[in-house]
Amino acid sequence: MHAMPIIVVTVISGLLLGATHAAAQEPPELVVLNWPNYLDPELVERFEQQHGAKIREVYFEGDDQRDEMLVNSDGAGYDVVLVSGNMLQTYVRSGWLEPMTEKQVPNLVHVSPRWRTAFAAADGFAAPYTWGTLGIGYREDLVPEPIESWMQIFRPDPMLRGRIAMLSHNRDLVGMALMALGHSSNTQDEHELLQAEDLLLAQRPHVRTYGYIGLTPDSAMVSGEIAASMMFNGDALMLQEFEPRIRFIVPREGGNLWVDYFAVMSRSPRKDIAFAFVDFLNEPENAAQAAQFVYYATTNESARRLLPEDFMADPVIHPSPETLERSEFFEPLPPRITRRYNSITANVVR
Amino acid sequence: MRLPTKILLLITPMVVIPILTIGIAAYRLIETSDVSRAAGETASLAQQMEMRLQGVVVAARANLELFAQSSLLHRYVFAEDEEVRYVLLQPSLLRQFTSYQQAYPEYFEIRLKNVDGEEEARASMRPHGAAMGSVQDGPFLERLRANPDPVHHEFMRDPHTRELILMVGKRLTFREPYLDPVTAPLLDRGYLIMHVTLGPMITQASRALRESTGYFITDGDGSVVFGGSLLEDRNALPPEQFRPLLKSVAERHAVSLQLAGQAAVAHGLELDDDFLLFAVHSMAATHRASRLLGIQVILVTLAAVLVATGLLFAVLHYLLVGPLNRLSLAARAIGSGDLDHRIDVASQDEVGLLADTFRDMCDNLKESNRQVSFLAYHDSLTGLHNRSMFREFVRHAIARARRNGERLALLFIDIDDFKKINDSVGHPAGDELLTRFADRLADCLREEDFVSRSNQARLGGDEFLVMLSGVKTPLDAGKVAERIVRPFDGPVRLADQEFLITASIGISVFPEDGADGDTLIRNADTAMYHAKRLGKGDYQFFSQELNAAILERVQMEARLRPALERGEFVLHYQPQVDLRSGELVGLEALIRWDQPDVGLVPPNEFIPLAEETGLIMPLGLWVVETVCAQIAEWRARGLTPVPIAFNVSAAQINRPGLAEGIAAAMHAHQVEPEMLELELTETAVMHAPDQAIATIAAVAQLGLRISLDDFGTGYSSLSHLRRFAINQLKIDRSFVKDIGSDPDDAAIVAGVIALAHSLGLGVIAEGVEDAEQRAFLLARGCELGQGYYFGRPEPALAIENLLYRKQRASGDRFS
Repeated sequence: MHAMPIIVVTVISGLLLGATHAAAQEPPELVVLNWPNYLDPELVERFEQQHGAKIREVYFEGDDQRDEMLVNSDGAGYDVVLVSGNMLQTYVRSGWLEPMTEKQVPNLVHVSPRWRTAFAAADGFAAPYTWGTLGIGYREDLVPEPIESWMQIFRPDPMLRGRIAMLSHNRDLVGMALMALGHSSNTQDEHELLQAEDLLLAQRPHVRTYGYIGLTPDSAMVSGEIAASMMFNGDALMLQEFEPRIRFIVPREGGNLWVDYFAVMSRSPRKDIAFAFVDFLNEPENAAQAAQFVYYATTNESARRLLPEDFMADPVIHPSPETLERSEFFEPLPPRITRRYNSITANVVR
Repeated sequence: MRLPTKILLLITPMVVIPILTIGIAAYRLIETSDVSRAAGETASLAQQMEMRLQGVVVAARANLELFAQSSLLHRYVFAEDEEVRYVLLQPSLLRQFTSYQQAYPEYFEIRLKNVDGEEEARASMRPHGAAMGSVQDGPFLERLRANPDPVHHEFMRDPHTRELILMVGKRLTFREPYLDPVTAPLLDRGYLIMHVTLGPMITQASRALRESTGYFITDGDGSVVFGGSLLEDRNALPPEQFRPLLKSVAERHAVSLQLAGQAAVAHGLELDDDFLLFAVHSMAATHRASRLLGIQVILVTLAAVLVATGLLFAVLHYLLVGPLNRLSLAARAIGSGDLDHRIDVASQDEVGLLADTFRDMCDNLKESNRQVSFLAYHDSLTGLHNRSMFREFVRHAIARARRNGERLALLFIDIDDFKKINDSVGHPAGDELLTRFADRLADCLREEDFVSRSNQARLGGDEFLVMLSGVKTPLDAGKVAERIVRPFDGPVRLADQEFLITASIGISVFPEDGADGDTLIRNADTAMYHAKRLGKGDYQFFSQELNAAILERVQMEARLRPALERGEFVLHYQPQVDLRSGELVGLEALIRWDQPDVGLVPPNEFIPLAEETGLIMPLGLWVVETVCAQIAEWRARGLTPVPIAFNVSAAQINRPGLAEGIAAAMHAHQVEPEMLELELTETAVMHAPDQAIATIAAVAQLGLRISLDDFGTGYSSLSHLRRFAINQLKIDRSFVKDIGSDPDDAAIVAGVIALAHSLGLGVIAEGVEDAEQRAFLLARGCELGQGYYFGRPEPALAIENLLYRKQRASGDRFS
């Protein structure tokens, strides 16, 4: 009678020990949920060597996909997640993010406060990574004329039809449609939303895919199957490595400004290693290296000074004040409007 | 063309009425069967659609249950934080909804409502569907809540489009989490509602149907919810249309009604409490088909009628009317006397039979006509012509005889004592006698060779008529009569008795005894009675002179026969002199009959009779004999005879023996041929058969001179002159007579003399009566002459003197 619990405890302890032992013998694995091609492999390797850990990168194609993945697992299964600034608050409310301060990530001190507070809940839960714009990336040899307006892909020339790619995330899709129409990407006006819905529905037949194109040599834009795409600025520069004829523009109507953050998931079993990784990334040299790898502007102030001139001067990476002036950050929307954006997106992206 | 019309008027209805009746009956039948078929069809269609709709309902409910199982939905429904719900969860949820909609496009709207009935999420396939205001589903939610079954469906009008949809809703009831699964209470966390559009499905199903069938759905008030192809949506059906539809639903059978202006058959059923489903079949097309059939029937009938009419017409015409017309034509022709009209009908049927009967009738008519005709003109017993026919013949014969200047003789024949014989042997035997007599008549007449045509008739009883044409002299008619008076060679046996049959004949002659047939017949009749009175078996002319002539002729013939034996003939001689010298150069022997009690009869009175009786031959030979004897006698007397010419008649030269006779006589009396001369009349030579030619040639062969007497009086062909061995031409006295006064005669005489000379013939003129004639002839070169001027015919004794004188004074001339 009394023997039973003892046996159970013993067995369980043994198992635990074994597991711990196994764990102790195996290098700990850090699961990083991120865009593909968004982390310099060198840095990853260095971290792995330095900390004796293994990093497993899990990729998402779009913010919406990331959201869904996290929704599906309810935040579990990932240790570090790359979150766009405007989602931080929601993630926090979902209880998915572990609080993050200089205490956990000392190198936060290198990050300019501006970025640390750009979004609600950013300060205290996430470390900024890069910032950039959302515009149009295109093959200058495959377009009838240089792209300057969102309308050139929303109401495309016959040459472009069927060779356009769009993002599927609701704020990106609806937001840019609104901007194409001259409205704010944060509007709550029903009329404007209807217009945007119409524009998007009309564009549908010409869109090849509502998914983000790859950033490797077998990218559809390299092969020419996609001539123009809604694109993040740095990605265009990365693709230029493989195809020099790729250009990037923030259209004259304006684009979207975004900031990416790394956050540690509250359900992560390896928070310490997760924090160590985030901290590692914010080492100025590492931040500079990372930025150069991804062709994006760094949020790490100290890293800025380490970046080369031409990098700093690249207008794509560091857009002009006018560009910045006409572009917007995504602001949170009331639930009803969010529903609206959701409905529209659901209707368009089938 | 009345017969065909009649028949057609009769038959056409008989053709038309059945066909039309059948057609109409067929039409009606088809119509009703169409209706009943349509009724059955609509019923089954309605049921099919009902089942399909039920299927949709079942599927939708099942799918909704499935959708409601989604863990994402579960999580969504339990997510307390609105932001989390909308920002994080809703996009995924919507994506899930749209993925359902991709699989089931008919689930065109999927809505999530919270427990208070507020809308949470909406995936809508409608354009701007997402933008539309939230739907007040109050009543539906009420019923959903109230329903013990968590899934509730209703057919209804879509709140926005008013289309008929199936709305399916599920109460999302979840067990409160983290509590005992058994005891934990169920919580309503919301409602998942699906709008299922039905229109496309029904339309699709309708497409598979036959044209003119379809569905429509109304609500309970007759407002059309789904009109299909037939009706307009949202219209309300007028009560008169809706009432029968309601009836159809209530009584579960199809109804016929007018729908949207067309005749239709519809069957309805309740879809649910609020809606009625109808399957409808527009009869327009069917009616069109029926009408088409009807028209076809009519056309076929018309065609049949026309064809039948045409055929009947043709057949009737060919078989009946044509032949009947021809027969009628034939009857008319036959009626008007054309008995040779060909009846052109030869079919093997009744009409042909009629035609044959017609032909027989025609032939019979012909035969009767012939018989009647025959009877009209012939005696039935003997077959001889009857009186009326005979009169016709007489008329024609008179006309012909008048034209040609010929004579006719009519013989009226009566059998002697016929009545007595008839009474004694009976009528049959009497008739037999008549028949035999008639036959004998024909025989008697055939022997006559100078009567070219004769016609016999029986007048009736025992009287017969014979008409002789081409009669030269009345006496020839008498010869014919002679044969008839005693027709049979012996007694005739009649009914076991023997009779000697004789006939009495009266003869009348045209033109002497009458100018027309009736007169001639009447006179012949009179003559016949005369003959009967004189005694049976004899004939009498009407003209007494003729009778006398006959008598005399008979008498003369009787006397002529023995005349030669009795030596009553004597030769006279007429001198022939040289015109210049006047010297006697020859003599012509002329025969005379010295009849006792009568005197000298010149040759023209007995020579013809002699020729007829055949006496001419011995007479002619007697002449030759006598001339030769005379020459011999004169020689014996020491006189120098001159050549003697003697006449020979046609009869003599047409018979053999003349040359032999002459030769015999010459031989017997030692007379040289140069002493004899033959005188032939031109007429005798004219028609000279081969015998004549042979005889003359034989005589010429003997060495006699041949002289052509009466030259100029007949029209002999001049070639004859060459054929016969003529030595001399004798100019006829008729030309010589008027030589002085008639220039034509003079010319002829001159011509003949010239002709004779040019042919190397001698010429002698007859009938020289005066010096003037002599002088003329001499002037023209005529060598010899004969006539009263030089001397009449004298007996031998007188001639002797001349011979003496000649001999004495040779060179003596006559002045």
